[in-house]
Amino acid sequence: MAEVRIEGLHKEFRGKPPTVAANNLSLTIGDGEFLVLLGPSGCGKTTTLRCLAGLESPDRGRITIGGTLALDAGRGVDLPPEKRDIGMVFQSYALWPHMTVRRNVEYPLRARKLTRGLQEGWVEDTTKLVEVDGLLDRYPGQLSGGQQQRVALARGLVARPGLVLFDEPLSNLDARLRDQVRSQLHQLHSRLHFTAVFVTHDQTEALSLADRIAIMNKGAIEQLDTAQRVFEEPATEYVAGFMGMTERLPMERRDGHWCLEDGTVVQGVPESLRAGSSIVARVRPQDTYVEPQGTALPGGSAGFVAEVEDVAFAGRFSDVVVRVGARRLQGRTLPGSGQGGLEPGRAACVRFAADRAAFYAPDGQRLAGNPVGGARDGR
Amino acid sequence: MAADLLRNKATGFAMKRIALAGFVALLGVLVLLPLVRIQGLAFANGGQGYLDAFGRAAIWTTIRNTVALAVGSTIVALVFGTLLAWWATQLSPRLQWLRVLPVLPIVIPAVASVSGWAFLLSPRPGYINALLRNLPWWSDLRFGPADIYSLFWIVAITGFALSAFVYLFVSSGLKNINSELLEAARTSGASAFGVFFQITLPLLRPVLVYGGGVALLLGLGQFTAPLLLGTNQGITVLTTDMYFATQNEPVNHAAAAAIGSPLLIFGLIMVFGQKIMLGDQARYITHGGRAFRPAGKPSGLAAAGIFTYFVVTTLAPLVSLGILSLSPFWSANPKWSAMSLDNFRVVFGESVIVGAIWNSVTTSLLAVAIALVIGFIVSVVTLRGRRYPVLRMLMDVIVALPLGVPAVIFGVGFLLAYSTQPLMLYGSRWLIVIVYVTLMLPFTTRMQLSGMMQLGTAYIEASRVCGANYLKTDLWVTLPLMRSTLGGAAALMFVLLTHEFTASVLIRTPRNQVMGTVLFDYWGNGGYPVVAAIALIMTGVTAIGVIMAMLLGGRDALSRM
Ligand SMILES: Nc1ncnc2c1ncn2[C@@H]1O[C@H](COP(=O)(O)OP(=O)(O)O)[C@@H](O)[C@H]1O
Ligand SMILES: [Mg+2]
Repeated sequence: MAEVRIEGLHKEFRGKPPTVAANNLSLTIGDGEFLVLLGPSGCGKTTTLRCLAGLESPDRGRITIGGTLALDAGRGVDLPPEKRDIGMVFQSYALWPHMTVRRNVEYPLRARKLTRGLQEGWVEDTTKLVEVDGLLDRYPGQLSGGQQQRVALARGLVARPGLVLFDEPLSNLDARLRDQVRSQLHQLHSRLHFTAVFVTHDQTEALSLADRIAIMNKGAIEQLDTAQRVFEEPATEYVAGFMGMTERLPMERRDGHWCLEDGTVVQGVPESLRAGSSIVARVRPQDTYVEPQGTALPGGSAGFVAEVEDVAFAGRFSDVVVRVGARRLQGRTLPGSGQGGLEPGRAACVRFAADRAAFYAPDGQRLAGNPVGGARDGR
Repeated sequence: MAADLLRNKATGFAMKRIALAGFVALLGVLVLLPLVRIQGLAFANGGQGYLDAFGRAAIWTTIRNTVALAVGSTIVALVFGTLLAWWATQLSPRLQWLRVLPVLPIVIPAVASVSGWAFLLSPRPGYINALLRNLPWWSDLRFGPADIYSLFWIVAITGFALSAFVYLFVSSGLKNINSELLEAARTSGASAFGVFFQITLPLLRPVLVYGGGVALLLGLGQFTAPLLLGTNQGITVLTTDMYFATQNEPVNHAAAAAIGSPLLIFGLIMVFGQKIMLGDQARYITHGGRAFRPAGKPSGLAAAGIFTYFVVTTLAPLVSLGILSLSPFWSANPKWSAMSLDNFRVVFGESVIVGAIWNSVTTSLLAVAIALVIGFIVSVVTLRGRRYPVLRMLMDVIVALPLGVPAVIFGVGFLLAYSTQPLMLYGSRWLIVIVYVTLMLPFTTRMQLSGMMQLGTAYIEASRVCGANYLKTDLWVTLPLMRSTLGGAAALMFVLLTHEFTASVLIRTPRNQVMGTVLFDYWGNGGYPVVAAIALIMTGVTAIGVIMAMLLGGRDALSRM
């Protein structure tokens, strides 16, 4: 078990223009915590993880793992990977094809000379945990993708390292297997309590595994919070977009009303917002309801009138595309209402609960006075 | 504790740098000393060597012949090599083994195939000429119709040999072409020929330029064919001119050194040009890419074409060697009844020849072992030595040089560098081993480097985060995974070295011979049936190497060059 401290980690790749893969990044991961690094492809997650592993040499920064100084770029300290108390699970699994499953899994014990582990049967224990104990004498080439993944997991965990690093380990699995291995990993963590840093670009994966999530943007951490807080109170518009709040409504204050770009008035925008003359609302499509024109706006909701462009049946409700000015938005009809009496070309009423939306200043920062967490924002 | 770490790290770093600098210096001595000595001698006494070499009227004919040989054989090689590679993509699954045939000219010893050609096409007793003279319109000829001792045939034979290299380059280029690009053209209505000329060839242009450059370089450095075939009618090229300057009275080493300069300069331009164009090798490292094979429809014509080419250019000379090695003497009409194994008895009874065979095998094996170790270190430093940019670059250039510099120049250079004190190795087997190691540097490095790059970084990184340092990682992961690459490289180098002739003939002494050089002596004395027998034995030794390559390196070991 280990607490991990990262201070001012900075890594640039040369090139034209140079890429800043980790931008002055600081982060403390608690002992036994499961931290997820979440962000779109290319934002620097893998690089950050590789710096933790010692596979990449950062330009600046300090890293301590479990009290051991692993990196201090200023003083030229940079422990090689084998001297760090870590385990790592790779996206491509990287199981050595010339070794059996057993040899692969016991490798960390041999490399670290943990004879105790070999004698006490850690290999058998760990492989039993991930349910590959029946495959010990096979070669990686004779395993399915899911089995390979679990062997890779066992190899990362077998030496009981203080810190386990995961680089998108589930992304090569098909959807059903991914769910399975994910919940297995969740159970393993609650049982073994290793400190984990898990890289992914999949928000579902992040939400279900993480104690805390760090959302990364261009090498920097945009928000670091519990899964629930990141989901409900995205700190910036960027995070909101990444957490599924894909519908974007920029508004301006005109004559005491909040108006969209084409002048359409939006009613019910919370008065509590401490905003200037323009704001941006972010909301998820599944929280955006479209109803026939004339429906009354319930309390605590914001709404406006738009033109229906398309209605597609989706089971208990229909997916609706509406247009206001030049802007298209995704919404849906109320559950159980089928087509909801909507027709393309006709006007409709679009509404969302204000506490399901998030409001931002034009620079992307969350406004004080948001309906959710507003008190905290006001600090 | 941090301060301790710091000190350990700093001293460790310095130690490694010193060790690496020593290693690079060793390579530098190996490769550069002969080249420096050769130029030093050429420029000595106010450039007397250059004056002697380029003051003769005959030198311009020699240069013209050299250019003709290089350009002509490159064209032959490009045409046949490309055609064969394209045909090779159109083989049905059952005939895939035919893909090996176009590579064979590389593995058949040059002295063997050249002498085999001579036995076929020598004007009077050449077997094919004799057969052709049975045709009605040639029945009145007493010589010919073909004359192997002419520039035309020297170019053709060299071109056939070089086609194998072009074939390898183009084949690997074709493998990297996405088959969908070709299928898209087919479905757009282009014929197979249209696709080849409009899509495939343009996509292959970089490969053709590179392969053509390599062929040109090798053509310029050709030695065996001009020496064995050109001497009769006084057709000299720069390499043979250089050789004669070291052998014929009055011996003029300075002139020999100077004659090689145009080749040396051209070779250096090629090597540096390629380095500049390729840049940092580590950039090309992948995490295991997928190659597409252009899926042409199986074509019987393609299979027939490859097989015919093989029979005409590769098998025919071997057959003539076979016939002659069983005959008591070389005549246009071999007598089947007089055939025996006498020539082989002569070969195995002659201590010089047996000694040469033994010498070839042992020096080659030793050189291969040394070259493998050097190549591994060079590859590892190339891929991981980012912290030593200058040393790494130096090393990179040094090991690439022997590919650009013709073996003749190394032969003369080693002769000069190691026949005076304090490095008196002339006459010792160690000199042969050192020359062989030097000549193999580019091959051992290229093959191991590309093997490591294909392996990618993931396996190695996985081992390191499991707690293994670089040494353990290399021992437990890199080396086992490289087994087939190493086996292939070892066998290939063994093949190349057991039929090495060019450098060997310059540094051998009468008591210290290798297979190629005794063959050449018998050739000079007119002992043709024994020549044929030795050539076949050389081919046999090579064949053992090839089979080892297949067993160790997998079936495509030969195409890994
Ligand atoms: N070895 C490298 N050389 C140059 N640029 C790199 C290298 N590795 C990563 N990068 C760049 O750094 C950025 C971050 O990469 P990475 O950490 O792999 O992102 P992620 O894992 O979040 O997708 C990307 O823009 C990528 O192109
Ligand atoms: Mg990544």
